[in-house]
Amino acid sequence: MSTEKVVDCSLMTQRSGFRRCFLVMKYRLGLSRQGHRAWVNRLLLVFVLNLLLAIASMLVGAGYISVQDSMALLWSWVTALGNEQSLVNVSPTVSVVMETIRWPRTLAAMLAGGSLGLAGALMQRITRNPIAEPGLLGINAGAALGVVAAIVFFSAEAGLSYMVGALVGALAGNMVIVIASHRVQTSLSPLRLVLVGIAVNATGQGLTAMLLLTKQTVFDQFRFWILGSLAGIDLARVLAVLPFTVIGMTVALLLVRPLAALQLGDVSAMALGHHPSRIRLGLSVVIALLAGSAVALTGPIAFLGLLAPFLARLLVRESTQGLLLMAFGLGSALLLAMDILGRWVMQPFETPVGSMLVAVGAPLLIWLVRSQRLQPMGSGGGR
Amino acid sequence: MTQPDNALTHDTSNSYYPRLKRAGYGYFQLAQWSVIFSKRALYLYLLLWLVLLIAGVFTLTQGSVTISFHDFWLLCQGQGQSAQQLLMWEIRWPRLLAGVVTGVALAAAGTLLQQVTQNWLSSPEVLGVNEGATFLLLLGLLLSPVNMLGPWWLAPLGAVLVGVILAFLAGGIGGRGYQILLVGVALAYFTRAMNDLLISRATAQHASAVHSWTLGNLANSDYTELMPASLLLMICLVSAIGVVWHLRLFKLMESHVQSLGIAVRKVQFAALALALVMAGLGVGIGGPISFVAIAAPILVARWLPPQVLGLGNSCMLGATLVIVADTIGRVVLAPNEIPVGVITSLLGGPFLLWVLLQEKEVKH
Repeated sequence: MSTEKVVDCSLMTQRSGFRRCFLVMKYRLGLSRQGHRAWVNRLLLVFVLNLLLAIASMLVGAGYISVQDSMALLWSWVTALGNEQSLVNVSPTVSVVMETIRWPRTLAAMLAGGSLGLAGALMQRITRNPIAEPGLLGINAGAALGVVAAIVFFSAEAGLSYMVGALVGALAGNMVIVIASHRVQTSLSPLRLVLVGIAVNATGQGLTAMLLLTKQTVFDQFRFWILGSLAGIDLARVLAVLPFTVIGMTVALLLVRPLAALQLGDVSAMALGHHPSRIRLGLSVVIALLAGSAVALTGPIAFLGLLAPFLARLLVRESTQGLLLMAFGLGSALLLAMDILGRWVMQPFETPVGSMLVAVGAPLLIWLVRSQRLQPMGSGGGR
Repeated sequence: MTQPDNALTHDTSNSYYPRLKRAGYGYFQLAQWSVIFSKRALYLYLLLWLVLLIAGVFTLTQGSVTISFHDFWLLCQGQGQSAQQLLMWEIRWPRLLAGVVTGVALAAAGTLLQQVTQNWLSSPEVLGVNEGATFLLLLGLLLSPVNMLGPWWLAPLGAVLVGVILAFLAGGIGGRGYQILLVGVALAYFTRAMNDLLISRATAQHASAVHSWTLGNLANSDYTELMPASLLLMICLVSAIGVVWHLRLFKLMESHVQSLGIAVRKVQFAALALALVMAGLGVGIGGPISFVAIAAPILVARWLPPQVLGLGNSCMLGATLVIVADTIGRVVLAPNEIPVGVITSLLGGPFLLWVLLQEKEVKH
């Protein structure tokens, strides 16, 4: 690792301008090593899976639209990319449903799922705890409280003000976790961290419930959102949240090397020239960004941040950046799949996707506990 | 009856009882039977009765309509205006009673669970027992033709059901350290998701009311369900006293307890069963009020000597906590009501955090 670093640094000093910038980025993202890596192929597979699920999500759903019609519209969109022909022979209802309901919904599922998966992977790395997750630890509850408070007190309407409320709430929730784990010096045992999360969750949910109960109209509007639901998302909200997700993801990927160093333990990380406390602070902000943007879109969804990194660790063992990207991809794929399933299981009712995920995630947690995999993640090992 | 001159009375003047007295214990003797009790526990018990009495009077007189103390005195004697009589005896009194029943049941359940698992952090809401009780009640709501919540006795059934599943998934109870807790947390999440699903199936005009009930709410309590519930609670409490007699010893190692001639598994099983039934009963009357079950025994234990289990004390404290939280919820934003469960989780969250952080400090 050290020789490689020397080579890279020499490259950086020699070149200048765009080329140098490119090399630095390549180094930071951990892509500068040559050679074939197995996880790249798997990541491509997950990407294809996402694509298929997204298409399925566009085709399935409530509303009396046949699959053929929606397929035809999708195909006409694809062909319209090449040549600017008008979209004919599809009824206006179909295109309205597809453009204003299903397309934002699909996009939101991918964004929120990916953010939560990535946030979960980052939290597990920071706390060295395989069941750390924004939902279990109360960060989502904080974000939800922020959104509801923004609506009740500042009568927030647009996506951006949701986002600001969610961000503030998520930061507050994260601060409690950071302070709690900082006060006890050593890393908290998995259970203790989860119990701290229960405490934060209870406080956040209590405040949220109080705000919702005082405003009856807000409750009617949010009784599905508060369970975690993708229904009724419009494109404006997705676009308002998108930049925050992108920023969070970029910063997370830029911090890959310090994160990998942190895995070796604080002392080793310091010896490699990193500042563990600064990295943790930066990553906490990134986690708040990611979780907050997800909550602003879909409401608090638990267990996705547990499921996605868990599956990602099965697929990627050796590299941190691969793990993070895989967690993002799997998170978005999982949320898409669960959303499709939720629309389909109890027709014509819709099952909130948050409840679906808990129904899948909680058994996994029980299995994790039973299989004795809960020793705090030690120095070195990939898990 | 007349056998006074044996070794026991002789002992009183000797060394045993004075030593007990110096350690803060009192004793009570009748013929050859004697009962030893902690003086501190007794004083605390009396104090808690007093506090509960004051809180009860406060909750009866305060609210959206205030009753003056003079009127209150008249009402107690069966006089006063008919409107106030209705308000007090038909609305506030059942509510107070429901609060006491819920608080006592939850606190007793919490105490027993904590002693069985030998862990301060195990309580019905952390282990998912409350959610299980709620689940059956909501199922009753969904299946009933008139859109009413299921009868209260469904809740203990649900609690026992979740308890059985929990014991099965965690591979047994007691002495397993944190495994049972973590499995319980996961189970609680799972059951809560099921509850949310059931609520989301409810029609819109009911959803808000049901939602407010699932937060823990004492409004709409009436005598028809309170009477059988308090009877069951009495039976449970009396049997709990018998179980606690043995459960006190479980602070020792399991093999030591066994060598004292106690059937460890049977006591554990009985205590767990009682705890589940009582937790369910509390939920059936007052809704899943969180953190009373965990907070009351912990707070009581801070005041009592470590040998004393403090079941009675934590019951009284639990009742007081529920009453106070309910009164706060009624008074703060009057005429709007905040459900008691919201107040307890607002106060209980920081409390749990405090307990967690402090316990770690003690260990170091």
